[in-house]
Amino acid sequence: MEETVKFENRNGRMLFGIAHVPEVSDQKKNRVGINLLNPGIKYRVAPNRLNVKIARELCNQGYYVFRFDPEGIGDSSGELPVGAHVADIWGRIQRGQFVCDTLDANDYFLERYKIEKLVLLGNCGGAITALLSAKEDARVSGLCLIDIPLKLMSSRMSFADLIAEDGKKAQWFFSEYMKRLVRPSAWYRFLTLQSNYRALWKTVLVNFKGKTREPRGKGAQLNQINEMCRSKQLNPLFFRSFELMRKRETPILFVLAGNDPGTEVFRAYFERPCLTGLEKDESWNRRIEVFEIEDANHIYTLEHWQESLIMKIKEWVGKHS
Amino acid sequence: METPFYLTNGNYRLFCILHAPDQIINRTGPKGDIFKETGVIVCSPFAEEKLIAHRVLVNLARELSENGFYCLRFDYMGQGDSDGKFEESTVNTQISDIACAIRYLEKETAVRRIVLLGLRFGATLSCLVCRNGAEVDGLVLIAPIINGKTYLEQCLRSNLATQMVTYKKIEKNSQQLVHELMEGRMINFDGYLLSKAMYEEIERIHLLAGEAFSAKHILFIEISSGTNWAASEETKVLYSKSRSNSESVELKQVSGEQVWKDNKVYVPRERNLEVSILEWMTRTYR
Repeated sequence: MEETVKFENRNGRMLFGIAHVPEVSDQKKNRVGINLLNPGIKYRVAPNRLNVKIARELCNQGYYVFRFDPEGIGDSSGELPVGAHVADIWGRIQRGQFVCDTLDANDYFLERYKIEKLVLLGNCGGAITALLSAKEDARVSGLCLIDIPLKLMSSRMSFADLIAEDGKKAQWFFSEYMKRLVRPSAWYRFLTLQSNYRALWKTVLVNFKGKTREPRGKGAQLNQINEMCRSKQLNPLFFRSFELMRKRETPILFVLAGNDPGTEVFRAYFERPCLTGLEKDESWNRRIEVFEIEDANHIYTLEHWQESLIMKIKEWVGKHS
Repeated sequence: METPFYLTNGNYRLFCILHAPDQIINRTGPKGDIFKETGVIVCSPFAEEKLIAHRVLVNLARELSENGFYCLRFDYMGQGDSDGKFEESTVNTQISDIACAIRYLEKETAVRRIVLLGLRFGATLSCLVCRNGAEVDGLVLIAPIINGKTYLEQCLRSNLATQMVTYKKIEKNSQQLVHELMEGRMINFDGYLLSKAMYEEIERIHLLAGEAFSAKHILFIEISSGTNWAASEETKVLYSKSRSNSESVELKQVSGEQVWKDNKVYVPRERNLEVSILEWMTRTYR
């Protein structure tokens, strides 16, 4: 059963949401609730209606699911800055723009439906909001983070800033630029100030600089992480929040879309430096999982990607609830 | 005041939000009848265009209700928060959903006059609802899809784009996709599954051909951020054709963002669009 919901956030703004309430016969012994967060500036339905599909599948399994619009998004009141560059708004989300609303939504959801175990689930902006919110809310007992962005977004960035420096995407961009050397139209663009010089310079620089020295080992040291965040334009809040989750031993599922540039960034700047070496720890293995859906794009356009994603989420929630 | 609720249409529920005005506009007509205020039903665009344009439509509805008009927004079956799967929906189910919304507004708010406000394919559906004989007083048609076949070609192109990015080549071209569709498989475009029934129904749509649609008052709106642009030839022809069946028909060219497309700049509302619509609504219905 689905119910429409309205509740006030701490600013007195009315927020809209949908609660998916399982049929009585499906209800689990422990009332497990999943707060399924909106991605970026898209509203609670999400691209391809993905959040609706995930919510309905989880509800059919007997879980309570909540989807709401933060202030300024979807049907909720309030407003985000009009005319702002979308990438700058993404950056604000990565710094916690929607955390307070998520905490307020958690309060409402737990109280209204008597939830005993709370999981936060989100894609992209929803994933980072989930992680940052969990840092502030000890009631969160699990995190399902889909394509969590590590690069801190801003309008000053070009596409070349968004990729891992020694990843396949960087190599592909470099080879594409090399092909353009023999195209007169490309030279015309270059000479008439139409090229993206920042992206061009970055791509060339990355190719000739050589492989980056990443901090490695059994969990990279904090000062190395800070240096990496600074030099690679990564979000330090991601690392700080993850560290707290690690200490709390909160189970986390990271889902990665194989064809998303963010996946290489995740592997290069987080999985290899921070998770490598920890997999020998059995309790760690039970708690942290990284799952990649081959070839999938950022919004899981094709049905078999969506099916894989939903199946994995159901399996993981079942295991950790 | 905004009230979310579910509306039952047959064996499924439609998610709706009713924006009720704070002030009720009453007007005494020439025969002493009291006319209640006009109700607007927002007919959303198709699939992912709806997701992108959602906030603009929310703010438009708020603007209308703040100016005294009831405004009902809803999700078609298989879209948004309504029941059902997208692939189960057709043009006919969407027309039925609009008709259900009309019945609701007339019954629950005592609204006497209905205006359908449609964006893109929502505008097209609004015209088809009128063609079916629904008593609609006004139509606001923002960038209507006039030719269903052309629209489907655009939808197929998005499938081809996804193939290029995923497989670095086109594995199935448009003809092959349509052939598979006719054999019972579905086409994915922007994450939505297009069924054979939906495809065939959209393909048959051509607002310039066949039976005319009519409403007392029609406002056509074309919107673009370009500096030197004009309404499409098809829209101009449709505008001219509509004049013979309606009391008033206007065509406005609005300078602004095409709010059904992703932009680098955040556009939660398009002020020029709101002003144009509000000015027309106020002039026509007060």
